[in-house]
Amino acid sequence: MSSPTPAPTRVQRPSAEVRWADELARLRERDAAAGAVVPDGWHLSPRSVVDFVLGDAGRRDGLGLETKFVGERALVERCVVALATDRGLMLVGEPGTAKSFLSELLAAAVSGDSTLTVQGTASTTEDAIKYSWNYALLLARGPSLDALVPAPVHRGMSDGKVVRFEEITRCPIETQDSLLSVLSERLLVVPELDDEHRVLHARRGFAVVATANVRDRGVNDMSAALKRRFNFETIHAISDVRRETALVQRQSDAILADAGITSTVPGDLTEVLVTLFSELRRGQTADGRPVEQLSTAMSTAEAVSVAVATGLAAAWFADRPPRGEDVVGALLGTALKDSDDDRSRLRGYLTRVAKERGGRWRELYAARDLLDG
Amino acid sequence: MSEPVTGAREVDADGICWVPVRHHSPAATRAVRDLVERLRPRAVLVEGPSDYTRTDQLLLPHEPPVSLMTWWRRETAERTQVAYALYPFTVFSPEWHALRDGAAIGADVRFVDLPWHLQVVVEQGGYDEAAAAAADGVALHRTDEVSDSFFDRLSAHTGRPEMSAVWDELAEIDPALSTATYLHRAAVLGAGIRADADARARRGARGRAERRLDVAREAHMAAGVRRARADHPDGVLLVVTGAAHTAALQERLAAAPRDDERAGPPPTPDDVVTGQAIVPSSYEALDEQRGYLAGQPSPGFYDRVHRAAEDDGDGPGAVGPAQVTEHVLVEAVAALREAGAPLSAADLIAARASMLGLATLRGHPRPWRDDLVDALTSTLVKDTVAADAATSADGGHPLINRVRVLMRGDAVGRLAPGTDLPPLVLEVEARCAELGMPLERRAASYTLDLEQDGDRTRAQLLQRLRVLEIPAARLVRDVRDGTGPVGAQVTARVDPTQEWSVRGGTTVTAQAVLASRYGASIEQAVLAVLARRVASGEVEDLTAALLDAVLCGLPDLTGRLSEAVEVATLAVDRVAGLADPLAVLLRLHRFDRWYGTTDRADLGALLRLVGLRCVELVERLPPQAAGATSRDLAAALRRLVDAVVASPALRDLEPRLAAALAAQLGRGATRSGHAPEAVGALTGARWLLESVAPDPGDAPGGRGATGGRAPQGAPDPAGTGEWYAGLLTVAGHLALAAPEIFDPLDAALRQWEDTDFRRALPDLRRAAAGLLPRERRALLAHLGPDGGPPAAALDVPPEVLESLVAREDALWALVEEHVGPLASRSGGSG
Ligand SMILES: Nc1ncnc2c1ncn2[C@@H]1O[C@H](COP(=O)(O)OP(=O)(O)O)[C@@H](O)[C@H]1O
Ligand SMILES: [Mg+2]
Repeated sequence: MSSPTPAPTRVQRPSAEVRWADELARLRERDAAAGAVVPDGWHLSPRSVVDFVLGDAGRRDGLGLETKFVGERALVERCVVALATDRGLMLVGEPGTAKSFLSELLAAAVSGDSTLTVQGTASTTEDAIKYSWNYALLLARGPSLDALVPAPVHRGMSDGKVVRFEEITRCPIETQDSLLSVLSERLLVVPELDDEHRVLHARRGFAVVATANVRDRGVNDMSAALKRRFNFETIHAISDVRRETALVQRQSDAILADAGITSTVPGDLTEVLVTLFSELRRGQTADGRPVEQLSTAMSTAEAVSVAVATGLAAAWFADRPPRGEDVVGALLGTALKDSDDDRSRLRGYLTRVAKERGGRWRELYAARDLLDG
Repeated sequence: MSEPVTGAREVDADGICWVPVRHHSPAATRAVRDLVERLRPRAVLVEGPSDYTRTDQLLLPHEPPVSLMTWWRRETAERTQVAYALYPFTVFSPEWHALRDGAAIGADVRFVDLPWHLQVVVEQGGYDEAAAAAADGVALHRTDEVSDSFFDRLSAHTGRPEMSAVWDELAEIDPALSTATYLHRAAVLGAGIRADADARARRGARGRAERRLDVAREAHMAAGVRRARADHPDGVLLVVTGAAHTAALQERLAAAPRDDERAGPPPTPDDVVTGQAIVPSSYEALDEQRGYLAGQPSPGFYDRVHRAAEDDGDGPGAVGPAQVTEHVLVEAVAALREAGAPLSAADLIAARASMLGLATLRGHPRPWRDDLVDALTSTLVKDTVAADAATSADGGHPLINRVRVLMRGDAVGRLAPGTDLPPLVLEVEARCAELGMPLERRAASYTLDLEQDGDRTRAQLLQRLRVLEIPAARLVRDVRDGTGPVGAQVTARVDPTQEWSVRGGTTVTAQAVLASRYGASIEQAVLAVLARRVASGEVEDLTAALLDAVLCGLPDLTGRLSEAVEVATLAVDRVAGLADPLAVLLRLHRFDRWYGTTDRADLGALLRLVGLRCVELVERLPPQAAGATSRDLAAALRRLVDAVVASPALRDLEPRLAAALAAQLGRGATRSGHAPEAVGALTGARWLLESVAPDPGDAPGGRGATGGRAPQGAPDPAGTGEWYAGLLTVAGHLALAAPEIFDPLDAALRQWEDTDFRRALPDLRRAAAGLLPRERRALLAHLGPDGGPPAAALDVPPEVLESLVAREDALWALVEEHVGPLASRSGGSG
């Protein structure tokens, strides 16, 4: 297997195994040095996979691994054990909770490759999941391995790699169910091929990580048979405001820098923004007072976009450091879409909650009229 | 045991063996028992209140969990203060075994900690500053709530975020952990926690107060250790304290007594009365207390771990330490199956593989509690889990909750015969006798008139017993407040008396002992129970508790709860969610004389707020789906209209409610997105409101079920059974008072095809079931006089109908006998 080449600077968003190639290499060395048990077909030991996903900040014996997915260790451990025990893994949750990101990290760490990905849509067919044919070759030579065009599942099975299935519940049920035999018997039958090639047995290391969004159809429509073959993990928004603030700051700084903007969103403003997101998401203020929830998901990903929009607006249109009113403006433009109800709920929140708080909250309170009309 | 005694390390130069413990811990228990057996100490000193002199009571054959309850009471001219704390003991508490094993070998067993009522002085600066009512028992075994550098590092190292899990990693999971390793690790952990506390004390007032308390307690404990050493110059002293205290005590004992130790604790003021009693506890109660309360998550699990270690795998049916969790897994699967989860053998295999995988990944020498819960969560739960699954009371998912319940265990402690009774039990008996309702074996009946102060006090006492679930009092008949639904004809007599049946007996005593865990006095216990009930913050729980607070005569709590209800109301976004609260508040407001709340303006304001919020929610009603949503809406609308019409405090909301209903209906079913039943309910609400609203041209006093005005909002010609069901749920009872408003309905129904009618029948029947028989009959009589589909479809033989009618008439005659003649305002009926 060819090892990934270093990240070319031009790539907009390198895949995880490219971006963190160096960390992956160090973890392999550590596994080898410690004689850690690496499951068949895996690139790393389960413990190293967990460390890669979460980073090891704060550990004295750490390798200086960057914090990537912010979440409970137990959750990541469960995900890793699911893959190690030959179960499918289904990540469920609100949009923007890093389901896709987590699945990418897992695939990169387990297989060294996160690119075997099926994107689920209403029109996804089995072709896009398992394999299709090169019709020119098929007509010329009849069914043969040469004419077969492997899709991610076929490749994952023959190479022993993790296959990612994004937004699986958007696919028609029958399409989803085509995974059944793959997951239970671990084999794929290509009836057109000759006896020798008809059955593809999955190599060790093959596993499926699917994601599903609870705002879509949800997992209720999924067949019971398929559900049984997956371990489900609910991914929640980050519950600790401090950690979420740090993440939003880090990511928005990076994106703004990428856009050539030198100023960043000030720390106290990011903290206000993240607090607002987390309170509206939970329907409760930090000191336990209820607030009306919005219909928008108010995810961390959304918080990052609002922070970025805040920075852009201040730099491009006002040419000054970002302030509270820019946050309100950005919320209006990004997160609230065009829901009148959400607007009036946010206004209610600012009126009741922001009013009593000092500092940056004052700026948000003062800008609440932007939400009218 | 033939091992050489490792005395040199375990016992210091002064002959003291320091045992740092966590207060509920099978590992600590193992170490303590091993040390007592090997070292045969002369005295065993335990972190417990030193003013408790009845250790003999603790040594009786109780069945844990039991708690030592210690309380103080102070009466001054201004107020009565009562507070208590609990020291819980489980079968896996090291202190429990230290006392018992120590006593068994003839050692002198003593509590050495600072008495609790003095801790209040140290921590809060004196009784005047002490919180008037610590509604929850405070408990002294602070174990969690550490989040500082030492702990953060430990947490990063072990990958576990809470103290209890970190402790497990260090002490509990390895079944073969030796006493020496245990002592070493617990000492290091204790010193680290202590260092974090030092850092906290340097940072802020809260940390300083905690530190002050720790220091005072340690001074007292150190003095206790020295005294015991003086009393027993030879042999080993075993000192069992929370791990964080051990190092500080060692440091003190290594030098001469410091000033604070020599000065001794502050004196107990004369006006403070203190006492202790042993009370039963339960795993349920222990499991609930998190944070720094002396709780223990999943006590049932640790109970098994402890028993497995004690049996060590021998004896019939014994489970070895390595198999405990696997056994719990099998039980969990059985429990889940019993609860209806269809789990196959494959599921069990997957769960087990996952549990073992997690244990291996985490480096656990045997599968542990979190491996099990995580494995079940991961393999069996096929939908989403709530965000607060780890901390929420219900586990965030029914399946996990079932497992939690299993691990929590259901043990309830029992006191040995001959145990002194706690003060609450005595107070219950004394108060009842004092108010002339002595608790005797034979039930006695009392009629209490709530308009009389004395009787109201009696009723409040009995209500308190009810809240505490002490079965000494049963409400046989409540007051009659004469509130019928608006527009209904039945107006019962108003009667301010209640009838109670009061009795004593062993069940009553037993329940009172059990209730003692909530507090040292009746009032204290009621406050604690109500505080627990409102923990959810749900407006319904809050109003229910508010009602109880009023019934029990607890003005302070009433005030606090009404504030909480106010806040919670704003978060409710369904009218149905406010229907019960509104009814409760209405009742409290209208009959404030009976409940002794005449002077409470806050309740009136609250009623208005809830009413206003309801109207707002009708204004902003989102599309109402068919089924339960619409049914709940109908029930809520009926009560809302009732409330708005019946209460002077809400009457000015009437035009706004009418406008809201009109606006909702004006949008039509398609644009509003409401299901037919919801539209019917809105229509019914409008009829109801119009039928009782003052007609501008009417003579004064025209309020009430006036007939003659055709309500707006003709029935939907395509009306379905659901539409009628909604309508009748809200306004069906008008059939008696204002039958003519059903004329348009009548006309519409008559156009229905037979099949339409039959299809609608179940819904109609459901709606009619909510009506009084008399109203139902009036409605039928009105709708069906010309025969036509209704009568035909009902298809009841005339003689059956006749006998039914006769039976209902007899019933009503009986009712009238009891409640007085039923008014009949619209010229007789049926
Ligand atoms: N818990 C988290 N840890 C790290 N990043 C997060 C987290 N939650 C959200 N994000 C950010 O949000 C982005 C969007 O996540 P994504 O994986 O697309 O969400 P999803 O698939 O759940 O809709 C991530 O790439 C990351 O930048
Ligand atoms: Mg995604």
